[in-house]
Amino acid sequence: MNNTQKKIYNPLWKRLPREFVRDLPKYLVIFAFLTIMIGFISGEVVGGDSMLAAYNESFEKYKVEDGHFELKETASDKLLRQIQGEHIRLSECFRKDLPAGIPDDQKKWTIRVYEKRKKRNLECLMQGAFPKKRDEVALDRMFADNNGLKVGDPVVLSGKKFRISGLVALSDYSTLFKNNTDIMFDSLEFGVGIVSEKGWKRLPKEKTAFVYAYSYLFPPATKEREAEVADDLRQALWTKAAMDGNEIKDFVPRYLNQAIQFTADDFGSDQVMSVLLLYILIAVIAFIFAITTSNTIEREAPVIGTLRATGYTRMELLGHYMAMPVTVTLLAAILGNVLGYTVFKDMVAALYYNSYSLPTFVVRWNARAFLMTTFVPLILMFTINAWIISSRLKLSPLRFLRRDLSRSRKGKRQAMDWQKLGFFGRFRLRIIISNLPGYGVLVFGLVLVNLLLIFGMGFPSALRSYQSHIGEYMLARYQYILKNPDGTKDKKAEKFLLQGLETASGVRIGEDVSVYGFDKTSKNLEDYIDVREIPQNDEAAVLASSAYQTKFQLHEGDRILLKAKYAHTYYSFVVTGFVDYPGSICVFMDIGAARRVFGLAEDAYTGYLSDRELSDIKDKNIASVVTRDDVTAVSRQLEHSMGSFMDIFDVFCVILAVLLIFLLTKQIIEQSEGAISLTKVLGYYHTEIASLYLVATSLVVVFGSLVGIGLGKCVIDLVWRAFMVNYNGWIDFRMEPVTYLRIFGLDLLAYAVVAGVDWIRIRLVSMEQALKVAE
Amino acid sequence: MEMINQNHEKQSGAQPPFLEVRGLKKSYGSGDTRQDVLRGVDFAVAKGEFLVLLGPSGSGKSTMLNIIGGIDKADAGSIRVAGEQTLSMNDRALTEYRRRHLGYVFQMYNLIPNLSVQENIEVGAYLSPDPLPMGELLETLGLYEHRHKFPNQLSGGQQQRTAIGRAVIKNPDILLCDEPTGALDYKTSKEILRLIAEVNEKYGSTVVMVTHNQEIQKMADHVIRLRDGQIRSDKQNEEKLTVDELEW
Repeated sequence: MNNTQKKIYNPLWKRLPREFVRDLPKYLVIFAFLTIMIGFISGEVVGGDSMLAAYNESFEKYKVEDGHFELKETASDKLLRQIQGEHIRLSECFRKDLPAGIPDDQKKWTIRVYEKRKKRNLECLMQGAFPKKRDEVALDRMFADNNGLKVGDPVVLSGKKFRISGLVALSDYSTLFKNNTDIMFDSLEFGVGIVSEKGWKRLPKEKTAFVYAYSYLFPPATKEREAEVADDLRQALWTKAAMDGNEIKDFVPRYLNQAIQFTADDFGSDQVMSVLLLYILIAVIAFIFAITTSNTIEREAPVIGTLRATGYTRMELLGHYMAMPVTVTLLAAILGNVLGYTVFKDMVAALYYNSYSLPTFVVRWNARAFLMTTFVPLILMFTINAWIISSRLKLSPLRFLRRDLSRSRKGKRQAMDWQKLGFFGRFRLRIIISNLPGYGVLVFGLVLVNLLLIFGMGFPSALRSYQSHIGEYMLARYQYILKNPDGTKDKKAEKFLLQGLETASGVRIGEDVSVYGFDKTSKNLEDYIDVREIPQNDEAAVLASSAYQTKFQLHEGDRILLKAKYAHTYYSFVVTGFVDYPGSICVFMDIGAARRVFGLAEDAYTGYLSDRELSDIKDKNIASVVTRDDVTAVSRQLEHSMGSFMDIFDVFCVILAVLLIFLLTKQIIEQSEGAISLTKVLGYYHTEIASLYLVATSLVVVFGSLVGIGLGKCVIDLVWRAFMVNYNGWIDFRMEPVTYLRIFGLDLLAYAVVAGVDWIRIRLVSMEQALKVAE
Repeated sequence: MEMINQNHEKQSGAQPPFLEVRGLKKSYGSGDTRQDVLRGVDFAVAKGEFLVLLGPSGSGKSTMLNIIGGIDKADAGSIRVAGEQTLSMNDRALTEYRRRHLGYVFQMYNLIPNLSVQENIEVGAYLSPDPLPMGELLETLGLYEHRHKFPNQLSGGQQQRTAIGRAVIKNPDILLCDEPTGALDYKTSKEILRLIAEVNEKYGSTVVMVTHNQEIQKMADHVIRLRDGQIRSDKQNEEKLTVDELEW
């Protein structure tokens, strides 16, 4: 024997490139899909984490506050000294919320203006220059983008003309929350900006809100400690302000400030969803690979039998059959990561910049992204394929040689009487049964696609539905909240009492709850809300809004515990019924009982409900007016932030559906080539043969689509609940019925494309194929 | 059966048998459907011997071959190959046994369609730490000119030669052939038989060939006839014919 021969490498590896070329369309489609998916998620994680790092660094770089509070009046020197005795440093961050617009439309937006700050909450200049002249303003970059404003454009602030000198990111407004209690920020109609000292003086004094930012001299070490310190500070401020004849109107520590914190929370939640989606898709593609490989194993059974008989181990064959899926995934992960770091991170950054007002960032190497988008997909692909392929290779060499690969013993098979189905029906049923694993993955894939489509189409649909039913979500077209009592001549206006509390029990602690007191006997009331069931003069009984009921899963007779916002005063109520009012988390009670519960005067009230504007109430007595625009802010912002993303997402879902159906029906037809060929030899028309295979697949597609829509709706309800529980308020996920039809239609459209290809594929099967199989 | 023992004793007197089968039994199914395929088979084969297992369909010859090859299990009995008991081996040990000792040729060639002739033979070579020289073997097989062709570019005879090359290149102790000419015409069958005889002589492999072709027994050293799972005769050929002398 020749000992000098060089080592022979496993020649089976030489099959791989040829296999790749032979099935080029399949591998290219899978490769492209995996690459884009991995690239996008890699871009999201890399871009997101890089932006998050820049955001985290911005706290120090831009000296972001540890919290702020608003006083009714400017603080006296004595009060400032007393407050600073609480181991904090204060800086003025006075602001003015101004009606703003362009010269032709001066009341389009509300812009919150600050004088350029020097000590706390500094601004990051994104474009242009900081304002220096009296008529210059620098606006938030995202607000400007959303409204098509550019550097140099004119804007009108409270009737005064300004010119945009630059676009900035305010470090304490990474998300544009107008009020900290808002469900969602509103970067379309609410913006922030800075002006020079001279510019500040041009703006109306009466609009000034006396806000002071504070920072700790000795920052608390833990979140728990920070909460304790903030709570102590709030109590101290409350007392000291009151003793000085002033009043605390608002107190927001940084950890509760949505304008600062929302970004970080949302970054994480977006990534979790995307990565989960990637893993589900990798699992689906792994199953497609495994099913395809199982069919290859079936086709090559005698070769495998021979190799096993010659001495090849199962592991060697397993390695061989797993090489292609693992290699394709590895290559897709490498290319995907390259694209993630280059192309997709910019797309993701653009998406984030569309929602958040963030400073500039630099891309950073991200080991977590590598782990999530390369290592985990490989492990998933490896595990699923190893599991399925190894179970196929467990059979003895002899069974491979005999092509006896069925796992059930023949003797145990039950003969079923399907005569009623007719020959074609039975034939189709056989096709389905013999391709059950492939069809199973197809149904699973369609369930996934429909789940995504329900998310992609259902989400905007739910928002549209919310906006179109907005009338139902308001107590009245105008809800006036008063600072001081004021009369109106409008006899249709209905007085009410409103107290703001927060939950102290249930699925979310600290959720804002409005307690409304109504006069049940009023004749006007039925124009606004149905409160006939309100228990009269019962201080412990309330009706809960349907939003409260849904979010907190309340039942009649349940006891709820509420708490005053800035004090340790608790209120316990029994829910005696519900009001169909999905607009907010609130409870309704008798106004007399409410006055007694809150220790108010016998005739106390805090506002009016009206279907008309009440022009005779003095401005100085109005705290706020809740209109349709206020209620739709959430849905408008969500639609803006996610609208374009959802369109891309829908296209992606349809492509995924086409891909899934294409790959799985391809292998089903390939596996059936012998039978198709034989039926041709027997004299069946092409249309008859195509109908046998296409109708069988059509039935599975329709079944998968319907199951997918049903299951998808159940899952999305759970996801929606989990999503909404973390936010103030509640929006019902009500999909328009036509959306279900659209999703079903898209499934069928995707299938129609593939069916056309399958029709040609079936036509191309030659009659010689039957002879080859016989051999 | 008397002849078997005499034959075995004659061989064992000179050297221990390379392959020894004792009391081999095998049945399929159970209850009413039970079918005894082998009913106590004993024989021995010397190293380098060319054995033909002859018998009609259903006689148990292929089952016999598969059990020797470690791809089927016997219900009872023993098989000793080069001093090793194969029936007590676990799956892993059986794979190792096949890898080290056996080459397999089937009636169907079972070549890998997207590997060339040479690559298909390398599939066998990969399993051996000391394979036969590829070029020389290709010449012996008459495939040197065709070594870069793929199976679908070859005739049936050429494909079977490739399959033989795949089995032989690892220089197996035993070459198991299950109806290797069953799918071939007369002329090509003779080519294949000539090749197997040449391998047997040139490389010293013990050959166990299953066939139902009576004529082929004449080229063997040792012929065992099976019927209904039992040995009907076990004899050494005093005078072997060459392949060219065979006629059917």
